[in-house]
Amino acid sequence: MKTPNFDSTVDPAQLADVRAEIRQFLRNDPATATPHADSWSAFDTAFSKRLGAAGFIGMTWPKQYGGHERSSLERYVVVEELLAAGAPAAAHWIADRQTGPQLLKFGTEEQKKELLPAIARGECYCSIGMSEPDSGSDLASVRTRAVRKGDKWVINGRKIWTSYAHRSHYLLMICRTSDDPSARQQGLSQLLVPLKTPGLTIRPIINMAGLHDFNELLFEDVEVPADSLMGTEGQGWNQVISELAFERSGPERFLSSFVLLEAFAERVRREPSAEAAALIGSLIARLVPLRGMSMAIAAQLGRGESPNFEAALVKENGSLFEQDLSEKVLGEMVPEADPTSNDKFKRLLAEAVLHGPSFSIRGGTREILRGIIARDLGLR
Amino acid sequence: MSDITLIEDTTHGTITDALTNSVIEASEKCTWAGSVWEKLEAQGLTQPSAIAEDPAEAFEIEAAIIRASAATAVPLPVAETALAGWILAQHKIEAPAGPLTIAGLNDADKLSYSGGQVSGSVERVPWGRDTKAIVTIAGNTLVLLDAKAAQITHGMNMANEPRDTLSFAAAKPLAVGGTVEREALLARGAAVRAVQLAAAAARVLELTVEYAGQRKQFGKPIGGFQAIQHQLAAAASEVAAARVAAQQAYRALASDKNVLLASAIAKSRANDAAGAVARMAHQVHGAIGYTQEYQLHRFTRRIQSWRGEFGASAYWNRRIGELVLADSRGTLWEVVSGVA
Repeated sequence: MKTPNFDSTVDPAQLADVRAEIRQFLRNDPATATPHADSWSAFDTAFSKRLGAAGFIGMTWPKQYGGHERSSLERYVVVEELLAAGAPAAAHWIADRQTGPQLLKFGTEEQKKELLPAIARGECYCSIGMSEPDSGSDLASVRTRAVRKGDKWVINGRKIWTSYAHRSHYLLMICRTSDDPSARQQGLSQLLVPLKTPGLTIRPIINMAGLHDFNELLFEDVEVPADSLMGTEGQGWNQVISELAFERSGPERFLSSFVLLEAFAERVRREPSAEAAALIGSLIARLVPLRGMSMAIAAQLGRGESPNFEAALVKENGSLFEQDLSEKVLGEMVPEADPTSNDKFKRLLAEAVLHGPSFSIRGGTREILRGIIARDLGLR
Repeated sequence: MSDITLIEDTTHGTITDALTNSVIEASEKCTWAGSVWEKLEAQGLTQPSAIAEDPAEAFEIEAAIIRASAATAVPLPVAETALAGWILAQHKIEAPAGPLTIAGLNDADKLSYSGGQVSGSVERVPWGRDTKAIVTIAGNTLVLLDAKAAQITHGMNMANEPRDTLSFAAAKPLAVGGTVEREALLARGAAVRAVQLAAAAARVLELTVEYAGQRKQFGKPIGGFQAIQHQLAAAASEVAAARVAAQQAYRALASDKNVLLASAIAKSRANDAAGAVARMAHQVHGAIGYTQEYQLHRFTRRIQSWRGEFGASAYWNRRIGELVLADSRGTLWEVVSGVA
């Protein structure tokens, strides 16, 4: 049985400067006048460009690629402040969190020079191409195939649940590059594909909140240059796994609905209620330790460690918290959640409830996460 | 290995060496486990503040010793003595030798202090009958009372740990400290119980994972079934949250920032986490976990008892809500992001 390590401590004094900087930016930015629940699903290119111009995207990357060479904990502070403010951060989110770091590790010099500065400026956006119609939680079963022909890869197949593929520039996808059926995981590779490539059709899928976020992607003889391969051929699975500690432990795993809690508190301050105060207390009592866990992981990631077990524990705990938050606030109220309301609280309650089911699905379902934890406990 | 890990391991080893089955059995009838206490006292592990080099280290040592005491379910007031010693040090009172306890934080407790004498009674005093002296509040003054001056009525908690009623009639305190706020002491005790709950929950998870790996049904270890794996995974994330919550309270103590809030959060979180872990552990163990002969109950009975002490979740949740809503910084986020 492995024991998770959450003992890293972070000195808040070291992060006071960056916190003050991002708070000042957010206070003055027009986008924060209308906060969003699940704000990393709210796509606003103008906001991302302003954020990039202010130096808050690609924060940890080398300056030669448009980055700002700041610490991963400083980036953590910026990300949590964006979420706490409900800022519309979806446009640059994936590129900043995942695609950029993968490019830094695996991209060619040309790709790095072309993409990273544009990502850091908040002008270039990326999507993740993992799930397929028949491959969700069982990711290693993906069938979309890339075949090497001369100096090109030719891709055929389908991807699904691809958030904002209709507005992003690039897709970092995983596909099958080998036929050996005994090596499901070894036969996978990562490719970086421009979403405007001929042969690639993007169809919208509307989610239950009425938003166009998801897409289905159809690849019909899509040709990309040989150097679109990210990293090593056949190592796609391991590369994807190494992204997951970043993807699963971040503050977006428990702060997606925080603006709802803030709006609820504003309301309770106006109309005090002992029950509502106790509910807020119980939610804060879960949020503060979760943030402590997540920051301890951020410190480990900053040292180059791979706390995958710890990240799974944060996501498990965080998605339960996020779903309970809107659920319990809804349980406290007369029926007035309304996605179209001018009242911030009523609108955010509707948004948080309608986005709620996705919290324990995206980034690895609750069941997959519990399986990972069980493995580290020594049960599998 | 850090000094702190060394102290935790030493405490753990000292307890497990001395805590024989016969000592455990006797303690279930509220017999004082003197043989274990003497070993701990001889190594200086009963007064953490005394072996620390500075106040911040004292908190780390205290937490380490309390973790080990809870992970072994030692039937002794290790946590209470450490807590009482720390409070006495705050009031520049030298801690007497031997086991100590803390009392007077329940709503019904009333002790008066006038003319240099303490009168009244306090309930549910941990190990009241076994301790040398009691740290408590009389009026709003901190006092140290001689246990010999008390009239004692026996009671116990669900883990058969003594929880006694102590009555004093015009008792002259052994020492008198400054004025104290009841809730500040309650929160300090809450942080201590949070550490105990987190450590006991971690031990319960460990026992359950071990059992699930050994117990076979339908031809395989029950830990091989997803229904069991997922319960244990959910419990592991609760254990982690409780541990971090307790750490945050101790960091707040060491930096003297957000002490009340962080302690309240720690107790609420550890209460709920440990309760959920105990329930899961019994479910996975089946009938054997419900017997005297198997050791799971030594931890789960303590968890269920400790959850109510130094503030149940309902009390602290209401207080956390009041504190964050009234905070002059104006937003929840300012408060939340201020806790390290």
